[in-house]
Amino acid sequence: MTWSRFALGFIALAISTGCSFVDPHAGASQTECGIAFGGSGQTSGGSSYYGSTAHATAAGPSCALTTDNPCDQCETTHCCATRSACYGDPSCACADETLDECLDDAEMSANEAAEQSQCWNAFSTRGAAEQARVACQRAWCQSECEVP
Amino acid sequence: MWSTRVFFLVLILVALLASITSRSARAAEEYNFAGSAQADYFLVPNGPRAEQTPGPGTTFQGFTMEAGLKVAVDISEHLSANVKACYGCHGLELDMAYFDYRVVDEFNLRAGRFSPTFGAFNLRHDPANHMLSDKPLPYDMGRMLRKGDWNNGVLPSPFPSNGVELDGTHWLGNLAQFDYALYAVTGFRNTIDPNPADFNFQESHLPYFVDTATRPATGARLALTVRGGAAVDSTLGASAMLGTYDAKSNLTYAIGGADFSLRVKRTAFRAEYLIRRQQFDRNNPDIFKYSLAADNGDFFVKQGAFAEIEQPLGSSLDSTLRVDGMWRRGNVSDIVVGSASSVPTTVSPLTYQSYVLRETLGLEFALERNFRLKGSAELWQFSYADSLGNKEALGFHFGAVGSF
Repeated sequence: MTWSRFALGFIALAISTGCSFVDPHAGASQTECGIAFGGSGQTSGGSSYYGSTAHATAAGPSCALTTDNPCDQCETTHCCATRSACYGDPSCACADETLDECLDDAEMSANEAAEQSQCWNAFSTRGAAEQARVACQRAWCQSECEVP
Repeated sequence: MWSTRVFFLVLILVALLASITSRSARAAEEYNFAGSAQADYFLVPNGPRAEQTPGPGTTFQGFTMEAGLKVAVDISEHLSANVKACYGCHGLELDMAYFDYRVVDEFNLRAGRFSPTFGAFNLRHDPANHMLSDKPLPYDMGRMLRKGDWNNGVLPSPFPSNGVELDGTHWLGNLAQFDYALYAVTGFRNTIDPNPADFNFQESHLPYFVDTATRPATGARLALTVRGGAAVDSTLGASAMLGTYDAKSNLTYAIGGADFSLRVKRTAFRAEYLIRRQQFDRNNPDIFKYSLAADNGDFFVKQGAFAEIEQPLGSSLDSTLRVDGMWRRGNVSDIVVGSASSVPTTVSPLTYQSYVLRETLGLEFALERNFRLKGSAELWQFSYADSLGNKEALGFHFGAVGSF
């Protein structure tokens, strides 16, 4: 009885381990934040394939000064390259939207400073493009963009 | 106890050496030349290339050529050498350059450049040895539709690599035959991309024969063949290969396979299943289509299978019916393999789960024993649409193959 239980347990463990071994996981699509990045065709499009986005056009991968927001103005003046790289990257552009939503939520919080800090931290640790953008903002536009 | 074991080990080795030296070596070398060539025209009426919108996911339509020339030399009773050069879609290639040192049937040492023993199909990978113009999808090497999307098959055949192999055959009377193989070879690589996410098969071709990987890939195959008389035989086999493929030898891949074949007179049935589990580099999450999962988020799984039946319809006409497919599961990189880019320049049409299924009906007509015409029709079904919005496609092969 003991041996049969052991054998059954071993088989169950082997199957669950084996299934887990060949069961890859992935998170949500990184292009599902509502920004159109040029469709899902298989056409090669070169470095500009993702193109400008509805969200990004106003604030500008072109870095044109088309806004009164002091953060945007400062960033387009001093951090054009890192800003463009972020908006040209679907993952970073979506993370930027998440950051904006996170900062909006933090404003309603009693512990605003701490939650804002968490928002920036989550954004900057997400990838290379995000990290570079925050680094430039912190260097040139820390007060304008309220980067902790 | 220990000294007894050592004594018996020495005794066995001495007996083995004595059996080798007692056999007279042949003075004269024997040469054997063999060669084959296949020209094939592939027509895809509703493929993207036909609509002037080629992309990395399309295929080689039109004419392709595969040719090979092989020299086998029996140097002595125990030693032989094989060299095979072939010409394909990526130019001239050295498919084989190895020595076999066969002590007995059960113990053969192979060293040089060769395709390590894996699965059953690879023995028939030469176009003169299979009835259809192209290979089964798990072994596809670039003839499939949307090959760029899939980065070819599970284990593109042939897969020549540099290394050593021990193999042998043991006969169990006249009823059964047991085969084994163990090997350590260079294996697959991707040392070009800064964030490797799949094999770069170009690095297995010229001029990349020099390998800088410190850890070899290892593998094994076991097979049992049972004979039920002169007209019937059946083989069951299992194969596995393990290795790393990036420059730092951190990213692992494991390939497993099972194969079954049954021959009854001139009718042959074959089925194979392959699975590849492969880790990818996670240092740049931006290149992936999906956010990286914390658990089991560092690999993808690619599976493939085929089943085919070959049935002669006369003395000169053969028919083949084949069903094959592949299924890929896991995160998707938007970096084109081998592009050396760290920034996505395309969007892969593959999703977390993607599949391709193909049904093929082919005929082969022998004008002479060594010169045959091939024709086949294929129905392709994909889980995703191409740039023209098609999830299905038809393909037609018209080929001629000769051998000597």
